[in-house]
Amino acid sequence: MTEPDPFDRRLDDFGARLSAASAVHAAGRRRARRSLTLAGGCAVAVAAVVAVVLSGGGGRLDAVAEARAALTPGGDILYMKSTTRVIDNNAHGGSAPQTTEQWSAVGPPRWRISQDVPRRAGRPPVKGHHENSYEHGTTRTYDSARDRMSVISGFSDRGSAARMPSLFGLGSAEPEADLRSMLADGTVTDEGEKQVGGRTVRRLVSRPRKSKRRPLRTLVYDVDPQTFAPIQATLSLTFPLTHPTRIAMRITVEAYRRIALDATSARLLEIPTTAHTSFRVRTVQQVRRDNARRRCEAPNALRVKRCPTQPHG
Amino acid sequence: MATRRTDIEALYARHREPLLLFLARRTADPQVALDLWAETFAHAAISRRRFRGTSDEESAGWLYAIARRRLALYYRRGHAERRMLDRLKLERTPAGPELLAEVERRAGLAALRVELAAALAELSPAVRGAVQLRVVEELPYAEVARRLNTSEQAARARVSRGLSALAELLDTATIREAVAR
Repeated sequence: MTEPDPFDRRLDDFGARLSAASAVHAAGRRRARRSLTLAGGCAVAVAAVVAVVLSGGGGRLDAVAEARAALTPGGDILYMKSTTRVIDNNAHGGSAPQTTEQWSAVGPPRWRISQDVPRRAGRPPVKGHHENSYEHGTTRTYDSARDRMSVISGFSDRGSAARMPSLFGLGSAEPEADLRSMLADGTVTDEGEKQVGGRTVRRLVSRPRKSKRRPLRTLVYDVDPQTFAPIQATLSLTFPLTHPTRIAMRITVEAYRRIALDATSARLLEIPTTAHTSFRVRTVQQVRRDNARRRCEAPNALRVKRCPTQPHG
Repeated sequence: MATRRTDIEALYARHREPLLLFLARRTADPQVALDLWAETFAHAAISRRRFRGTSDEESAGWLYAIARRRLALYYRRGHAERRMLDRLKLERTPAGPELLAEVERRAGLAALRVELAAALAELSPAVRGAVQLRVVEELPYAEVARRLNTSEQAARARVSRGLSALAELLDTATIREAVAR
């Protein structure tokens, strides 16, 4: 008996998974919310294929990608690579630098962050890296050491899940625009040009408001004087009420560039997986229900609102 | 025999390869075709209760209508949707170079390029030139109009006419081929 080729194997494999998933879905089926409508788009579809022919037919993917980019509201992907170092920590020991790579695009918001796991002082080295992404209402969290992906769908592009966690630009995919906006509305103050590592930067500082409950958080952004592209940021946290704990870390930008967004580069926004990755897929409603149930089952559940009334013993 | 409303396995067995090749020929990109193909079957599995057809031809038409909708969304947004795959908890698995090459070979993408070149040759020089400037060179319509020494409205009309003619050529051939299997 001959081994099936990769084509047939892939089709057989997907058929088996589709059949199994379909049976599970049918068991817990809800009414479908969407209706099928036929759409046009034929001319656009043909345009991409035509581009292959007219451009010589050699560059299959490139020509198609270029045509797509021209025919869709593409924009670009912002790529940033940075290294975070703890430069002052009087509460704990130091840790190894952490490297972060991030890719982001707007309209609709999409982003992916890949971080290595830093080794903490006195702890054994940690293998692998963590990745997070957001795309079309779905967050994905990937743990490479366990080869495990957690998928949560049901978020809104206007909600906080769609905002990329970053010290630069407060979670938007456009740090330069955000820093300019923060300067305009007074969130940061301009301390003028400084010399950092042999180059001229413009320093923007976000000073903390005095608070009895929260740590004092000072952020110093060093940006390109003309473009506002981030160069480095220093975050200092102090906890004056508890004890004079102080933590400071510096994020140094090592690469910052824009990549044309097309069908090929768009894959940079997706977390790569392996053939053995295990997935846990949930909706945000399921996650909230699970969290609420856990809170209600906790020993201090009486403090939590909306828990079912517990019978008094 | 007609496909039963719930018989997604029969639908898959009958159309799995033709649909994948149909999508490969429409996108000229085997990886994108695989993504759209998987999403199409996931969509069909989820919405099959709403299918009201009784014959194999109707079920094929319904499946290809879903596929064309996925294609239209893909060209509009620049990425293949995965919502239905997510709902079924089916994740995308990476395709190796062997598989991609095999999809490209079976879809006959090289031959498709020849066919399209022939179809393009049948367009009038004015229409072909407009398509070339707009689609390949990515010029704005104002620049296309300037180079063709015509109005912007006329340039738009030529591009539209050219793409429509090619779409008609492609549609009749590929859909008839796919549904007839």
